[in-house]
Amino acid sequence: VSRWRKFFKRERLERQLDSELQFHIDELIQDYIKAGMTESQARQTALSEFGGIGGIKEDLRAVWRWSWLDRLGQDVRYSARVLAKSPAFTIVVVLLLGAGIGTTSIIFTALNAVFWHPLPARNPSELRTLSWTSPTLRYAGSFTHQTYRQMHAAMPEANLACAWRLRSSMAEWGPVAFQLVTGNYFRTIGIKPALGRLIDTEDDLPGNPTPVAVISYRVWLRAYGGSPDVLNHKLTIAGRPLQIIGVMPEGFAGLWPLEPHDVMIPYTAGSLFPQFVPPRDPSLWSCAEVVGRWPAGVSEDQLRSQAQNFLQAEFAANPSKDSKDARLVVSGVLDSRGQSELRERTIGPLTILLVTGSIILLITCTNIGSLLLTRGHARRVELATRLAIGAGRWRIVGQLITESVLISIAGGAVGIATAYIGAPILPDLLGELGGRTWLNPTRTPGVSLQPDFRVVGFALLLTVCTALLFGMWPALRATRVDLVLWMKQSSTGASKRHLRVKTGNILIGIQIGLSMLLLLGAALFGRTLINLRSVPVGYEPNGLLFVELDPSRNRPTFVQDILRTLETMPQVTSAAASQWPLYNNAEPRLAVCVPEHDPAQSAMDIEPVTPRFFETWGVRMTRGRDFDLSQDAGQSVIVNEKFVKAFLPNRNPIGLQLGLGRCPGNRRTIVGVVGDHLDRQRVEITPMVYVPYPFPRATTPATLAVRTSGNVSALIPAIRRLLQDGGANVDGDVMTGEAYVQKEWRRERLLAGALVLFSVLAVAISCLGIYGTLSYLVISRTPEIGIRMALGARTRAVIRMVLFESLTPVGAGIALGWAAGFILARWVESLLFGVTRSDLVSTIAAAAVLAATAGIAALLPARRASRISPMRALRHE
Amino acid sequence: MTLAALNSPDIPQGTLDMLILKVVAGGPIHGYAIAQSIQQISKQVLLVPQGSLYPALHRLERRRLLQAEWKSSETGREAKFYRLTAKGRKQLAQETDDWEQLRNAIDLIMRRVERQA
Repeated sequence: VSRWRKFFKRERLERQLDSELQFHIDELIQDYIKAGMTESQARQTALSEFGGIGGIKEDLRAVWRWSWLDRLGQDVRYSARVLAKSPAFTIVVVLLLGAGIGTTSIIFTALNAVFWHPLPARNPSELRTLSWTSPTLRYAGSFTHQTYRQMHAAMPEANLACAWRLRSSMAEWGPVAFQLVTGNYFRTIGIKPALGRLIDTEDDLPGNPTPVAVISYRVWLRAYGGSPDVLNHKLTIAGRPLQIIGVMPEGFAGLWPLEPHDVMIPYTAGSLFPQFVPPRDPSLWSCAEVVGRWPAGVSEDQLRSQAQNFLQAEFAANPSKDSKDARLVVSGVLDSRGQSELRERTIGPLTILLVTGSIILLITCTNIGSLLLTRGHARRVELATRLAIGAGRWRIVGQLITESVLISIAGGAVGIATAYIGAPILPDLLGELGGRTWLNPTRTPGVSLQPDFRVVGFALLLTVCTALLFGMWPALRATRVDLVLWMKQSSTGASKRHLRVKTGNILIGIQIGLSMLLLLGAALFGRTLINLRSVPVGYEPNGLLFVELDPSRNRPTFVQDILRTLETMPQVTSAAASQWPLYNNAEPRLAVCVPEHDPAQSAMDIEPVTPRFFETWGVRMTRGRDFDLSQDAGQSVIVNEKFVKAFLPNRNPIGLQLGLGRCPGNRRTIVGVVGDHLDRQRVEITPMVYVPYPFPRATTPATLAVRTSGNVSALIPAIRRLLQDGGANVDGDVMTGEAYVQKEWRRERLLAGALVLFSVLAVAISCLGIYGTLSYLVISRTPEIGIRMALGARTRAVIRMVLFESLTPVGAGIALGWAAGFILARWVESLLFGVTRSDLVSTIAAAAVLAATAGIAALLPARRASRISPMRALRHE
Repeated sequence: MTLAALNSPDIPQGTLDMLILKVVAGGPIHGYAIAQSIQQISKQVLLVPQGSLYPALHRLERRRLLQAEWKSSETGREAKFYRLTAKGRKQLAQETDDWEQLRNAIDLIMRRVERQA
């Protein structure tokens, strides 16, 4: 610091200013003495003629100041000194602000990734995808490879590339979705590798002896620790080693963020994987995704009509049931379904989170504003003194705002750090919000969710806005002083004080209202979670593991073989297969003919299961027996309790017959009854009919489940390896029963968690506000309280008086917050379970928590008021 | 402040610098003497308030039109003496010319208006 000061020669300048002006004054005095005045008269006249020395010196300093930057440096140093003098205040404010800015920036990171930075491609707006649609087709239509080749040859300038999405295989680290791409795929999209190189034309030549693969950035990090050594590794899919040649850039895993593909292999290498690719002529494989680059200026209609011709020629040769009135669709990649789906699914929840984060930030700002008001009062003598010795009001306003800006810069730094530290939760968060998609076994979206310059810019913008928001007003307030009054006595006029207390009360009312709103939300979602948890699912999630797969392209005995291997594992107590897992959101859809019942009402779920299925899932067998494949195939069924209650009340169902399909249906005998299980939260239990698993064939899809007596997670790698070696086509990772149950209320849990976190923050912030405002009140009423106590007011009465001051804003805040919560909860009522938005318990709980914490915050200044010594207060006056 | 000071006209905007340069052109001189000189030469008409004099002096010093040095005054005390630099001399000549022109122009207008009246 001393070198700094020397550099600016500030001290020397100050000395010179002093002696130059002093010389002038002394000369004046001498002249007046010569003119016949006494020395004291002369001195007085000279000083009054000279005017405010402070003001002149300020002007002279202004002349010598290097620039505004220099003045800023001075303000910053002064402000830093002031802030360092009250470290507790500074730290609390910086942390609160950091939490607010950080939370908001994390949410903005997600919005940024989804909306403004979806694809790390070159000029993504030039990219177009081709697909077709027809009145009967439900999804976007794909092209045969042959049609693709024709389109590619006819429109070379577009450099059309083709990708064929595959289901997922299992790798050591978990399920991996892979995709076949033509050699020009990466060049067309304009993707640069993060490491190594990407697939190019020569990799996609038929008969390439060493098939290659490119992996995604996140797989690189997760499975290879981000080591460049990955290029020496081979990736084994279904027993086939693939040489890893490169890593895709962060945030790219194909064009469908909700169905990311972590491994890309050349199109011609698809013939190595008959389990994943239809065993057909490679020239007929589909191109599910045709993407091309349309330079600006080329008409899209031209493209559409050209491609339409090829499509019609294709359908003329090979008509299908959906090809009638088929129409070609050209869409920008950024508007394509894969991209827009992610936006549509996440915009709602992210907006809610962003609004909540902004509310927190707003509370923080009003709160810091009111604390600064309090401090402004406490510093009034300092400020008045500085004003009196000639500092300009704007100079002081500027300095006070510099203090605010310093606080917010520190808060912004904490916030940006929080955003970087917190960003890793985003993939899971977005995966939760995005919901389940079939072709995404990892359940997290393939977009880059790292904070970038936009996020930092956003955080900086927040920093500046918050500084102005909470700094400007108290600064203007604090400097609007009546100099004479404040210098003469340290208490202000009564009307001013009332105005200030009133604004403080309004701030507290707002904060309490917002806290109440958040607390009410937290209470409602907390109760929803408790209610959801308390509903029995009907099976035992503990010790259960299962995996869903598609065995249709494996050998016919695939499922049976794997089951047998699983059963021989020492930790496995039982293993079973079914088509779907229990609790699978299934809609009742198949007809069952129950004697003496209207078949129209009897649509229900029919589930093929192997013997020991109920034992494995932990479903209670209430009557009869389990399946026995040797005698039950095609003959027996097992039903659940709900079925008995609905169709065969008061009868022994064992031995009774029903028909599968429309009446009379295929006759089956009921051999057992099992307990009910939930199909889905918030939905009535449905009647179920279980039929024997159709061995030796397997159902598609198929679910393998095991029950273990040991550590559940220890078994996962063994099951993964089994599936990897067998070349299984999985729909997801090996899942534990507990994770499966919890997944069902993920939205509710997410919202409840966020609201609890936010409301704790909000309550803490508002309590600080109450504390600050009441402290201010006590300081400014010290003389009055002193008089009251001198006149005999008791301690209790003083405490009550101060507490009552906060009663109105807290009461009004709670009432308004409740009303706002009641209105806003209309939009989330569908997410509530077992509670309504007018829930009395939640309301009372939220109000009680808020009133209690507010009371504690108010009690501290109130006790301080009660300890005011009357003598001291009066002498003060 | 003296009565004379209260009745004195303001120094026209922008001419204070020129007056200071002119006074300083006479040789090294400190702030107090500059104020006194302007007051005396103008026969007590022009009073330079200290609040304008010193900022003006420091501005001129900063623009390197004046150079300052500390030396003993006639009373033996250290005082800050100002003296014209080459650049200041040029500036003074320029401003004197400008002032002549301006004064002539204003005179012309004032007389014409008188005749018309």
